[in-house]
This record gives sequence, structure tokens and C-alpha cells, in this order.
Amino acid sequence: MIIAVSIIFFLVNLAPGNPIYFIAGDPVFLSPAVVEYYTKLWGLDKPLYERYFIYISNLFRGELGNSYRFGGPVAQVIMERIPLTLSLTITSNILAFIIGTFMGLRAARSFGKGLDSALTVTTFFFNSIPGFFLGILLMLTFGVHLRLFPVAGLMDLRNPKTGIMLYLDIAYHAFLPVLTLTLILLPAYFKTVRDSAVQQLGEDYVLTLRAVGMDERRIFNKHVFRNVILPPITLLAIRLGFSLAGAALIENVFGWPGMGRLLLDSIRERDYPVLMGIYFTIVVTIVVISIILDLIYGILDPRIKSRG
Amino acid sequence: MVGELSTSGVLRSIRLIIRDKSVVIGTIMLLSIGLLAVLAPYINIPYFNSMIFPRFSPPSPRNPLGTDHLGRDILARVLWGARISLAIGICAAGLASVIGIVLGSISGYFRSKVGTVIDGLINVFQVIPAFFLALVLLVIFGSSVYLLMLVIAITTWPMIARIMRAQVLSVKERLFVESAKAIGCGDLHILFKHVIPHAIPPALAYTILEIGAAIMMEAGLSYLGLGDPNYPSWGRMIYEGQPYIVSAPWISLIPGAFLVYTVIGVNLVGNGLLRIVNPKLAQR
Repeated sequence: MIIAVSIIFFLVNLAPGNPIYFIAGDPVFLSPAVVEYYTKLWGLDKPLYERYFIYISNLFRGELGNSYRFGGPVAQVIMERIPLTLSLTITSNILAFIIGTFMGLRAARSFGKGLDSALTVTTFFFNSIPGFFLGILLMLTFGVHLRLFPVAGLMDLRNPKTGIMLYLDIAYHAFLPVLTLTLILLPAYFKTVRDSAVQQLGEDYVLTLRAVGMDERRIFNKHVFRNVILPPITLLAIRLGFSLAGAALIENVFGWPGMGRLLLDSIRERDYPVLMGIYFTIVVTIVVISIILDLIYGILDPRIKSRG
Repeated sequence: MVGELSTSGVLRSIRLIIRDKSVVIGTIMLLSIGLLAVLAPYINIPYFNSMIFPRFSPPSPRNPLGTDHLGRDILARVLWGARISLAIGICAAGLASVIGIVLGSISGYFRSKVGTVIDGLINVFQVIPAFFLALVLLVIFGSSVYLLMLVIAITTWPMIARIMRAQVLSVKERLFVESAKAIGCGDLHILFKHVIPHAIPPALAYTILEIGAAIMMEAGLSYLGLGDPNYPSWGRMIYEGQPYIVSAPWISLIPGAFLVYTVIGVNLVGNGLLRIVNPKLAQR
């Protein structure tokens, strides 16, 4: 119930802010005739509310309009970029989730000891470094000095490959951006898992299991794990929702032609339909994921289901 | 909860704070950078925009941190950049925190229509990616230091509002609020005199963390060229140095190091305070 109401609320409330993007145009240094032609073509001569209604009604029919810059439909422009961005963000989010959860459990197991502090300090450091700067650092170390990985781009343009090799080449180029994103995303998973696992240490069931002589690793990986896994899953879901826009800066550093780059380019070129389209896609993704999340909750934690 | 604002309570909090190593170290880090930022106009360094030095000169006695691609002294630019970063970080987080605390407490205390509207607002902001919103606003209105502050505050207040709302919801149920109601205190009086003082500590700790986030956000925005073009900014310096990262790495790396140093300082203080304020975590 609540979800459904809030979704309608989101859509209705988000919409009025949208036409702002159209109002703000930069001065176009073209002949008046050309300006007039494009104003008509893009419907900019109509009053605001009319354009707004046109846009919304188009939206309901799944029309996102045409790009100012590319001339083609916005949906197509965006669809081209989505897989590229998702390949980065989903990979790194899942990696960060798995590694971070594992590290968090491991740190909680040796709570207060050397390994715990070492992991805490390391992740703290990565939590405090801006992604784009970390990207530059990694690029400098692995790309420039060690020459292990390509510095930027999507594929090797001088030596184009085909078939399966093309995908391998893209994966090879994706290594550094994925590494950067993973390192940036990891600390939050680590921290939530470690902190809640440490809190579980004092719980009766842990004491009981220890008393009956269960292996420490088994206690953590089986029983504590079940009790701490919910918050990082929430985090993962929220982040996947934002993953379409989340990597903009890092895509920019590594010249990765994904959604983030498209977004920045559209802003720079004042390509409002594309901007709106991206915006719409992102919001829809987030809303959809939050619905899925609520469903998953019920499966993972029966207590939530029984409550409501 | 360390929320009692009596004299002994304050003393106790200060003792707790001083005992926490990470807060002390973080404070020292922040004070050092803050001092440099405040003193920047009075130190004998070149004007940050004067291009009087040889280009790309590595750190030397004349330019302790080298010069950039236009022959500007990096030390001067980094220190002036510190002023901008800290000013934006503190003002943006402060503003976000004021908005967040006021709206969060109102929505937590008054569970009527006002509360619902604010809840909705918070939820709407939750689905808009903050960085994206900031980008669009800056592009539309052009960039200046004040707008940067405002934009960062507008995009980050909901987090503090959420924390504050949760706090107020739990404080509201406590006995002294009921007593205050029983002796006939008005709602606003109770909210501001009794509830907020008890509910505020976690929100304040988050405000400190928010400073770090704001500084990073400002750096990210300037890295994309959306910062205030009139002042040096760490993000912009990193961006400007990136093409020369191989031949003259100091141009990017030095402002980056300052940036990381500051954010680490802020996070140390913020996390430490959060540990002190949150009794669950404070136990250990």
C-alpha cells in the first residue's frame, strides 16, 4: 500500500521540476531563421505548461522524444549506453558487496586484534578518497608506470578485435574503472557488516554456540551471517538503483562511454531531451528496485512479512 | 545518551571526546589545514593567479610545491583552495544540517499533514541522485561559490532530516515529554526546549561527516569544470593537471593529497563523535 502511494507521489511530484531544464537555454549564435526553425521543431514556442503536458503524455506512451544533439530518439541513445555502464557498476557493486561482507565478517571474528584494525584503517582510507582521484592514482600506477592495464577507453582502437576477443578486450579495459569503483564502494559494506556482526557477538545465541563448542568460523559464516546480511543487501539494492548515474565521475576519468559520460556531455551540450531521458530512466530504476527490495525483504526476513 | 545539556553533562562529553583518539587526531589534522587556510592571505606566497613562474617546474625552494601548466605557484593555489573547500564544506553542511534538523524534527514530532508533506519531500529527494541534481542546478544557474554551497546543502539535507526524524520519534515517547505536556507546555516549546536538545547529538555528528561529503562533492563538481571559475579549487586543479599526469604528476597529486588529508580528518572526527553519541556502538 504505502509503496504504491509513494510511487505515485514520486512521479507526480518529480514532474513539475522537469520543464526547468527546457527553460534554461544558452544563447545560440545562429541566424534568426535557423533559431526559429529549431524552436518550432522542438516545440519550444509553445507555452511551458503545454510542453509539459505533451512531454508527460509522450512519456506514458513510452516516448522520450528526440535528442537535440544526435537527432535520433532519446531512448535509442540511452539504450546504447546502458549496458556499458551497467557492466561497470553491477560488476563492481557485486564485487564490493561480496568482498566487503566477507572482510567485515572476518574483521568481526578477530575483533580488536591486528587484522580488524588493519582492515578498518584500510577501508577508512578508501572511504575518504574521492573516486575520481583514486581513479587517477590507479591509472598512474597500473596504467602508466606498471603498464599492466590500458589507461582509458573502451577498446583497443588501433588493433580492433572481433567476436569473443572484442569482449575480452573490453573487459581488459574495464579492469581499472571496476577496480576503482569496487574500492570506493567497499568501505560501506565492510563497515555495516563489521559493526552489526560485532554487536551480534554479545548475543545469547553466539554464546550458546560457543559453549557447545562450535567452530568459530562456522558460527560466523552461518549464524552471524544470517543476522547481519540484511543491511548490506539494502545497501546493494539502493546502490544498484543509483548505479546508472553513480559512475559518472569515474567514467569521465577513464573515458568510458557510458551513461555518466552521456549525462555530462548532454549537460555540456544542453541536450535537454537526453538529459530528461536519463533522469527518467534513473528514477524509474530506483523506484523499481525499491519495490523489488521490499519483496526480497519478505523472503529474507520472515519477521518483516509477518508484521505487515 | 549523551544528550543532557547540563554543565556536568558537557564536561563529561568533553572528557569522552578527549579520550577518543580518532577525534583528537582528526581535530589536529583539521586544525592544521584550517590554520593554513585562514592564514593563506597573510603568508608570503605569490598571488594564486599570477603566472610569473616557469611552467611545469617541479617542487623547488622557489615554488615549494612546484608550478602548474600556466606557471602558477601550486602552494598558493592549494592554500587558497583550502579556503574554498573548507568554506563550502562547512557552510553547505551547516545549512543542510539546519534544514535537516528543523524539517526532520517537525516531521518526527507532528505526525499530521505537515509531517506527511515533509516525509514525502524527504522521500522524493531520496530517489533523485544528489550528484545529478547538483550538476543540473549548476549548469542551469551558472556556477559560483555561494550557489555551490546552496546546491550541496539542498541535495544533502534529507539524510540529516531522516536521522533527526528517527531520533525525535524515539525521544517524543519519553516520560519527560509527557510531563511537560501534563503541565501544559505548548508543542513548539516542548519540541525546541525539550525534544530537540535530546535528539540532536547524532544529527550533529552526521553534520561533521557531511562536511567531508560536501568537500568531496565540491571537488567532484569542480573536477567536471562546474566549480567557481574565479577561485582555485582542489578538484579543478586535479582536473587541470590530469593531462600532464605523466610528465608533471605533482600538479594533480598535491591538491589530491590535500583533499584526501582533509576528508580523512573530517571523517575521523565525525566517526569518533558518532561512536560517542551512539550508545550502542559506544559500548565497545
